[in-house]
Amino acid sequence: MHKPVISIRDKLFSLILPVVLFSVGVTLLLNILFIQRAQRRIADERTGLTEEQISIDLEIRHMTISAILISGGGGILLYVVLFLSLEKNIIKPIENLLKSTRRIADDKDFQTRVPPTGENEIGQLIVTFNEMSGELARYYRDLEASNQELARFAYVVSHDLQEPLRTVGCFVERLAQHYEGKTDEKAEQYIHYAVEGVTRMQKIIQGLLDYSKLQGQADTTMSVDSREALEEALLNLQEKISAAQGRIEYDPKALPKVLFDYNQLMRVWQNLIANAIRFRGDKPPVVKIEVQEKGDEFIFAVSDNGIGIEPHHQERIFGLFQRLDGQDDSAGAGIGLAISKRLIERHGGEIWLQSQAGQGSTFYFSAYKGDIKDDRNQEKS
Amino acid sequence: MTEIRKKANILLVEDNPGDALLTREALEEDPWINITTVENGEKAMDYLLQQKEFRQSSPRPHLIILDLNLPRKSGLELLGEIKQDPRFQSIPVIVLTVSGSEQDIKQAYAQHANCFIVKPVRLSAFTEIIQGIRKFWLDTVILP
Repeated sequence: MHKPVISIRDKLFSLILPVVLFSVGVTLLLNILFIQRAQRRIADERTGLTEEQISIDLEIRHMTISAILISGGGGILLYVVLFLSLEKNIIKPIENLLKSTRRIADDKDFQTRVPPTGENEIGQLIVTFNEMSGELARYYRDLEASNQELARFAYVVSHDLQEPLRTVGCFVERLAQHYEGKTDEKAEQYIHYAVEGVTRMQKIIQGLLDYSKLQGQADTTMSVDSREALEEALLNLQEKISAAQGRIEYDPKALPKVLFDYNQLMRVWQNLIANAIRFRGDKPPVVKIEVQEKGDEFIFAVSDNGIGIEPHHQERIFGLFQRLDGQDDSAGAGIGLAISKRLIERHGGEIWLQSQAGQGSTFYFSAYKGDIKDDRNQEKS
Repeated sequence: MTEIRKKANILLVEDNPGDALLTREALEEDPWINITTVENGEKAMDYLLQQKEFRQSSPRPHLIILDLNLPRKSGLELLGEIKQDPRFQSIPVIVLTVSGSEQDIKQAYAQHANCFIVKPVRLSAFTEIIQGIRKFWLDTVILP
């Protein structure tokens, strides 16, 4: 969490003792010097110093000691006064500011206000801070309201649209069952198209629902094995891959641990590989998966030998419902890449591609390295 | 040895008449099944409590099939009421609904649903599930 605060107050407090010791020490030292000198003078009395001279000497000595004591004490007093003034005008207000910023950052408590102190710079800072947190509170409320609106929208989409659609689909099929043997080829074709349309719309609704659920940042700090997620994705895609006589090439030992939600990473793999298979050329598809280290991230590359994407289309393929192929392909609802992009971005990564029409595509995505230390601890325990 | 079979009463709580019809059609192939359909949670409670329009004939259900998406009293509310009432809590409740949202699943099981099934899109799959419910809950399982 947070680093402990090394308080200015504690620092000033810790300086009091040295200051006192220094003052007392200097006073004592000077005292000793004077006493030694006076003793030496008194000892030298026989050498002709008058009574008066000695008494003047002693008086000077007393006065000097008093002056030193006063200045030492004054120093301490000055320090205390300065400290109290610092405490009231700077340390305390800053502490209050710190508390409030913490409350905003940690608890999203935008109602927090810092008590105003005065007209100086820090007082002004506090006034501005309070204004700012008020503004933040307003934006946060608006944002929450719009998120709730979106969640409600997703609910409406999932229930109120899906249900009647299901009824349409089921009863068209029921109709076909009912008139089985009595329908001609045309009627069967009509029914086929109706069912196809319903299935397609179902997929779009499901995709939209999935996409709308992916709001905000992922709250994962879990280290997951990218190889395991890949292999599970490949298992899910087995049918598609073998139907296309495809081949997936990767080095299992090269695939590292990354900071990602396991199911979401699996979904990214699945979307990218399914795309590579779907947009294959005339040759059987070959999909290569490689990884590269870059700073605190890994860059994964998924390259295929498919039809490729012309540069001017590359911008929009990550958008919602953007399909470059015709309407006849019911397999894709045009949402896979949009979802992948969101999944990767909410884990702090990026996705991009390199492609030429007819020469295959390579999709790259980045993800933070998994914490190796954490894993070792887990293995031990 | 011939099995002695009792007639099984099923209470179907479903507001979508289409789904109610499909469910009835799939279940009523079995002459031992007697289905009553109610379209909302309040009527379901009336049926269980044998009140209002159900004062005359409402045999205690052996099984309840419940859609979560109901008008007025939601399916989850009704489920909670049934499972908190000592008179009805032993009746198995099968949740059969369109939404497979994690929240609904969690809440339904927290309210002691006996199982949670998402209505499939295709008719063949839907019929199969209803047959599955029949085979498991009425032929395999011994109900209270």
